Amino acid sequence: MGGSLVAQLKKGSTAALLLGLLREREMYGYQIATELRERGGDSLSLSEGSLYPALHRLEADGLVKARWQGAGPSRTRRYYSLTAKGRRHADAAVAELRGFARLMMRMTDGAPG
Amino acid sequence: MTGPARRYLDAVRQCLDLGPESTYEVMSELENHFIEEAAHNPTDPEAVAVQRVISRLGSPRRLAARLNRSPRDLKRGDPIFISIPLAFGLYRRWRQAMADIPGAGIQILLMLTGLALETRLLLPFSWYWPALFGLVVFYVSLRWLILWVFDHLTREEVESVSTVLLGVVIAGYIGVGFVLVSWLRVVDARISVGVLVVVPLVAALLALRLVYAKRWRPKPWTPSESTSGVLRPGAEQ
Repeated sequence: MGGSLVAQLKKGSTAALLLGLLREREMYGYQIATELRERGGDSLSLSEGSLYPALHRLEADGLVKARWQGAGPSRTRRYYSLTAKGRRHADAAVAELRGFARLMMRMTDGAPG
Repeated sequence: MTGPARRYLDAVRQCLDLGPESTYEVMSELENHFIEEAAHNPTDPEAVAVQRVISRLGSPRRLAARLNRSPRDLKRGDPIFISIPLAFGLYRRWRQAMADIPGAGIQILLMLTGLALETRLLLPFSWYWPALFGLVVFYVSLRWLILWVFDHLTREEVESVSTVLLGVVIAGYIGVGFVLVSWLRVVDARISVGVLVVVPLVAALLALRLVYAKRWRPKPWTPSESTSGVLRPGAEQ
């Protein structure tokens, strides 16, 4: 039950998590996956199989833009960064997520609002 | 790039339906992911790093389907517009065009079956509109279902499944057409002649659409000569 709840929450907040991460700095796919794993552990990390389609959706929606950059002789990275529209969305999404988390804490702690 | 990684990437490419430019970018990005994993874990054997990436990326078909699924995933600038003569259709994606062929064929088969039942059972006209509405809903659902299945298949499999389905549909036309002609001949010989003309014509048009759609199959992404990701033209160093 707990696992499925986390999975549902994660599914619904994937875009917000990615936008929130990219709000900090420009990142490439592997870097985003690593950051998510380090910060969220096993329960909140996003598999790369979901990460790349999500990034491409955000790009198609005009929330992020991408550019290629060489990283040594044998590597090229596709860096993602927020567009102006994406930054507005990111601010709103992060605020909404934080508000939701606070609300859930209050509800589960049983303290009056 | 080791064999398993190359085979995995080839399997993804086979199922992608994004147009050459987007396919190139997706493939380069995935290829780079394998390289990054190996570079960040230099102490791990390459085979272990490759297996780790593959397990995180998941099934190649599923990954490609996630990238294909929504029209939103088709980036601006390189949609696959396919205009097939005699199809009166414009498709954003090759798999949509392919899905429409058996979808339309099955719909026409159902219409002919309905006509045969109508003739045989002498159903009242009040059945007409609900049946027509049901047919439209069925057609839309069927096309969506076929497209969903096609998104999980390689291009060769899409072509094979479409060909087999069309073959089954045409066999159905022959069967229903035969029944219709034998029944309608008693009612009105002119209608049975109409069936004899229309049914083969519809079957021929569908077969022609299939031939055209196969010809419009997108060209596969050409892997780079080097084993690593390649800078796209104009990329920043």
